[in-house]
Amino acid sequence: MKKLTACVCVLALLVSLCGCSAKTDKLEIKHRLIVQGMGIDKGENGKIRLSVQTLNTDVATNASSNTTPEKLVRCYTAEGATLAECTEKLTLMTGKNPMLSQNRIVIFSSELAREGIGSMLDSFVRNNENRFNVCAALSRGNAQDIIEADFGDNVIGARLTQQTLENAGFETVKTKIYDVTNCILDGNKSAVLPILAAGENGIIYDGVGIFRGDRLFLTLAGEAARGINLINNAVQSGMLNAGNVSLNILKCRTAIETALTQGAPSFEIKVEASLAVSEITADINGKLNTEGIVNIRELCENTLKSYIQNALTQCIIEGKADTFGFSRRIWRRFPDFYRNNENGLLKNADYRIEVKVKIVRTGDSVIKR
Amino acid sequence: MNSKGKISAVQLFMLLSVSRLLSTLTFVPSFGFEAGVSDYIIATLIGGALTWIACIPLFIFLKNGEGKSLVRGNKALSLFYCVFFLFSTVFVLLRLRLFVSSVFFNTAGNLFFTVITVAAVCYCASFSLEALGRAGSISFVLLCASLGIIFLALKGSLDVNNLSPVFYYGASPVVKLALGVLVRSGEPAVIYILAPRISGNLRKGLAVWLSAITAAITLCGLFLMLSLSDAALLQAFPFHAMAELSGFSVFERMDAVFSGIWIMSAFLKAVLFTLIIKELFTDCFAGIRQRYFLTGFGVLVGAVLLIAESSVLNTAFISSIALRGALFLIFVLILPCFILIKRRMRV
Repeated sequence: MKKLTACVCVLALLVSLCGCSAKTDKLEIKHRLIVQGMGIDKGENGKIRLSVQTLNTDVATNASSNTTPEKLVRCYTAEGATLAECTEKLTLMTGKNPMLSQNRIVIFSSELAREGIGSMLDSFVRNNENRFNVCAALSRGNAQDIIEADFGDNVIGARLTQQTLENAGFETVKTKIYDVTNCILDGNKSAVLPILAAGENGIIYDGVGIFRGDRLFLTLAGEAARGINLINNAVQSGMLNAGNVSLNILKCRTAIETALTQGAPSFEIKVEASLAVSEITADINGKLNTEGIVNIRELCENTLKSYIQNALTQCIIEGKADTFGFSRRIWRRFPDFYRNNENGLLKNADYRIEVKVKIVRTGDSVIKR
Repeated sequence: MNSKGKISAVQLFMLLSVSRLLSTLTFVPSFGFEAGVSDYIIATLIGGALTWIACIPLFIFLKNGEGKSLVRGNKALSLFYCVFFLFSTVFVLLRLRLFVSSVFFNTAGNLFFTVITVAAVCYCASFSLEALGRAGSISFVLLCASLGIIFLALKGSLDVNNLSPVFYYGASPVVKLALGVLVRSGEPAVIYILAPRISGNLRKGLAVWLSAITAAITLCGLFLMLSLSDAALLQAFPFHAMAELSGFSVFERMDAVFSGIWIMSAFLKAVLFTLIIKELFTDCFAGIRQRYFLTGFGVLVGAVLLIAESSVLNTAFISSIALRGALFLIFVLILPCFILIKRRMRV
């Protein structure tokens, strides 16, 4: 009797706790709209326009027949006052329940971002399906254009976009929704999002957008991302091109020391990088010798230093945007100074940059002594 | 309390670790005051120290208690403690329901989930303490393993810059947070009641457990704040949000696996409290059969749960720190001190 009761209990728990009792949600895969990418634009009359790229879960035609195979993705667009309303309209439009948990990227249009994206982030915190560690990006034009861009029959554009951002080394910034949320909550740190555009064969990385609070206020060219990533200790791999040498970044670590010198904050930015020579554009008979290694190392150090200097100049000095969390460092180390100088914290700040590079490998070629 | 069927001190403290870790993992940052993220970590340490102080009567009780329960067959006291553990059971199941509905099924109805969970808890409470001890040991290992995997997977997401200066908003928020940590520690009451059913050195075990659990929950808090920073305090269940971030290699979205382990831990915690109530009640009223008691208890808990779940305001009231603090004060501090002093005076 006890075993029978136990079995009945287990079965009842399995049936109820896995959500099979949910009345409204259809759980069959073909009744779900599996969202892979979301684009949010400014709509009409103060509304927002949500564009989604979803997996085509309808049964495709037989591949061996003469008919055109269906595409892997389908795109839909809905307008509403909130993301939840837009999602509901998608259900009415398609007859399917959107599944947002598989979303890979959220793209905000620059036009919308200039007016503020803070109000849209609540969905990523409150909605249990919308994950807050999804990639975030900006679009130069409409986000809908990127979501609806056609990269081929067997390509899921949102997945391609996410992979482009993940594998781009230090050429582009990788920002998640919760990073943007933290920047808005911090009040001083500026969020940085990559700006994307849809090209013929794929996604084009078109620069970086810098936020003040939740509003986009500055866009910079793509090279700025290198310096931003270096200072933010966000470089794990990538290709460094210094003069006629290309090197793989094997390891890169940035440490920042914060101090107060004569009443003004000073930051010492120390970068240590291990590189491997990938290619030298030179005469094939040219010999790489120890002197050459030293020259390459110095060239790399100067190149990395210039990236950092440019990023500091463009973001902090000219743009007045703390994209590196320097204000937070002062807040942590010197809270009293922060309390008394909250406005204009970085006005008289001093920055010292030290870069140390090690050339660890030279590829499949000998070094001449 | 029935002196048959004992569990070891190690099994008991594994069960209590599951209970205490679960309180931390399902922590809801619902405070109305401003506090820095580092204040939460410091508050955990201070709360741990306060718990040590609150357990001084327990140490004395274990030294002089002669292996007997605090209630020692006293019907009034037993019923009083039944009320405490009834509230604790309701709170655990309410929190479990809130977790499942916030994280997984926010449109599913309350009734079926509540009925089936309460029925399962009451059924499991019909087993002996030894069965629960064994289940608790397995749950403890799984819980520790899940936390270890999460911490390892978060290695790349930790940033010291995510912390805040300590005491930036003053000492008051830290003290309030520390008191919140303290009143979540209902485990000493379990030891007061279950002492005769435990074999082994309880005092030594308690000392080791208090230190280890404080270190463990501080570590959990540290990882949470290092990875999520201020965004953690926006989430209803910050530790689940932290688990969402964890992933390595081809393993992504492991939060679903960890949530399953946490739900199992919550279930065992509810069974522990229900079993204690069952033992207290049936010891006092020997004529009542366990089966009928558990059925009646299940109906009572189910009814209270359905009322509590019917509105967020009811849920907030049951979950309020003020109510939990009052119960902690009475049942973990005042009553045991009063009883110990009274017995001392008699001697």
